[in-house]
Amino acid sequence: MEALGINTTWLIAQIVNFGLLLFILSRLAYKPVLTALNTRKQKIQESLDYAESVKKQAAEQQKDFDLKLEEARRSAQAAAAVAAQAGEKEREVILAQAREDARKLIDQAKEQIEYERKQMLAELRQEVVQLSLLAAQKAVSQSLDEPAHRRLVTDFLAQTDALSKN
Amino acid sequence: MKRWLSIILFAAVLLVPGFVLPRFDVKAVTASVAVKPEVLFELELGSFNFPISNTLFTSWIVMLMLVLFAFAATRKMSLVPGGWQNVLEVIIEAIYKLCENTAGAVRAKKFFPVVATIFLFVLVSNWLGLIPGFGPIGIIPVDAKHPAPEGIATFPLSRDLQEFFGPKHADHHEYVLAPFVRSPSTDLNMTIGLALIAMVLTQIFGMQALGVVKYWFARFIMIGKFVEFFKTLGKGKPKFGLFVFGLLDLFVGILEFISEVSKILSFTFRLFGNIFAGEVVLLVMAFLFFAAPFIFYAFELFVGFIQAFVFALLTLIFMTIATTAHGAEEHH
Repeated sequence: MEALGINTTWLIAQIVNFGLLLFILSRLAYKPVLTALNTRKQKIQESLDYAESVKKQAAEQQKDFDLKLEEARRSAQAAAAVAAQAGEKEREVILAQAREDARKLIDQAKEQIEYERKQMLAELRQEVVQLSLLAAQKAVSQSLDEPAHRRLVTDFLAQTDALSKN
Repeated sequence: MKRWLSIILFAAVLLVPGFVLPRFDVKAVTASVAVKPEVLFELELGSFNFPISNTLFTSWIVMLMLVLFAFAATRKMSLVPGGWQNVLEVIIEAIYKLCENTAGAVRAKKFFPVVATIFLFVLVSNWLGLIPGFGPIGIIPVDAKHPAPEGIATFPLSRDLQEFFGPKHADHHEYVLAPFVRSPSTDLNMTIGLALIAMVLTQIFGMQALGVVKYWFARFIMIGKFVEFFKTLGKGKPKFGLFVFGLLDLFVGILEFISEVSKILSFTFRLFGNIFAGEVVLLVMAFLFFAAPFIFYAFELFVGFIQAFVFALLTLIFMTIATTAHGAEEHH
């Protein structure tokens, strides 16, 4: 043993050395570092969890947002459709009104024309009566008395009237 | 810039032992290749003289380095690590993961400090011995009868220092160079010490985990089958097969005990042999050819790491086995 340099003093010294080093390093290195590693692990886990939850929340919000957007789009479309329908109705009402008005105007105009034609016909008839009277007076000259004469002409006119109506 | 500096440093580290020293004809850089560590000086503690060997001295340097490193790394702990803290964390985390994977989370807490301290202490010890330039600087006693070997540059010490360093006993007068720094791993006291610590702690942990009686009777004193045999004998129907297996178990228990003791020896000489031989190889290579140590330096760095790792890993594995409840048959 002595030849190999083994002796109790040095052996014990080395064992004590190791014990001392074990103690110091445990206190100075292992404990704080392992604690730090654990804390960091926890922090990272927490951060990851938080990120995950935020991500989930964001996804939910996105979904919500999409849903609302879709809803808004649909309601906008509906409103547009309603408006379009109302416009159509309005247009038809206006058109109908216009058609009605036009028809009324035409009718009025027709009535007017009819009335004027009748007027003119009446006037013309009067004129013809006068002219016939004058002509008949000249031709017959005193052969008939005034009332008989008038009756004669009126009969004649009635006949022509009936003719023209047919 | 920094990279260049490190390359130059590296080259210098490689060149000094291989190239520069032989040029200067310093033949006896480490004149002695002795297993026994050299005594640097003796501390007088009352009536008891405590000889301080260079390996013991270097052990203290190693411890100091580790403690300073740990101190520097944990002085200002921050959640976002940087610098030394980062280095220490990487090392500790790697060792802790190893412990966890081998022994499980619960036992890892218990084994880790021992395993980590073994690894760090052995690693720094191994590597410290490799630093060139430390080996050749030391104390050598010289007088008229015994001049310094040729090629050794000597500087006389003052009388006080001579008093301090000189071996107190005449029979210690060996006229060999006593380097100041010598890797503790090349001292059998240190390797035996570590092996004893590792194996004794292994047994203690085993007994703690399984209970003293159960631990001994399950591993070393396996008389379970004998007991069964005598039970059957008592009933009048002896099963002689049990008796044979009982004998076998007894023998296996003895073998187990021997193997446990021999682990101390294998621990001791594996580390010592590898590191001591490595340093001798480097020394020899330096005198063969100046470029040879280049390769061997890299190799010895590797060996230094591997030996530290093996020592720590085996300790861890033995502790794990010792604390695992098992029938002895399953483990051979």
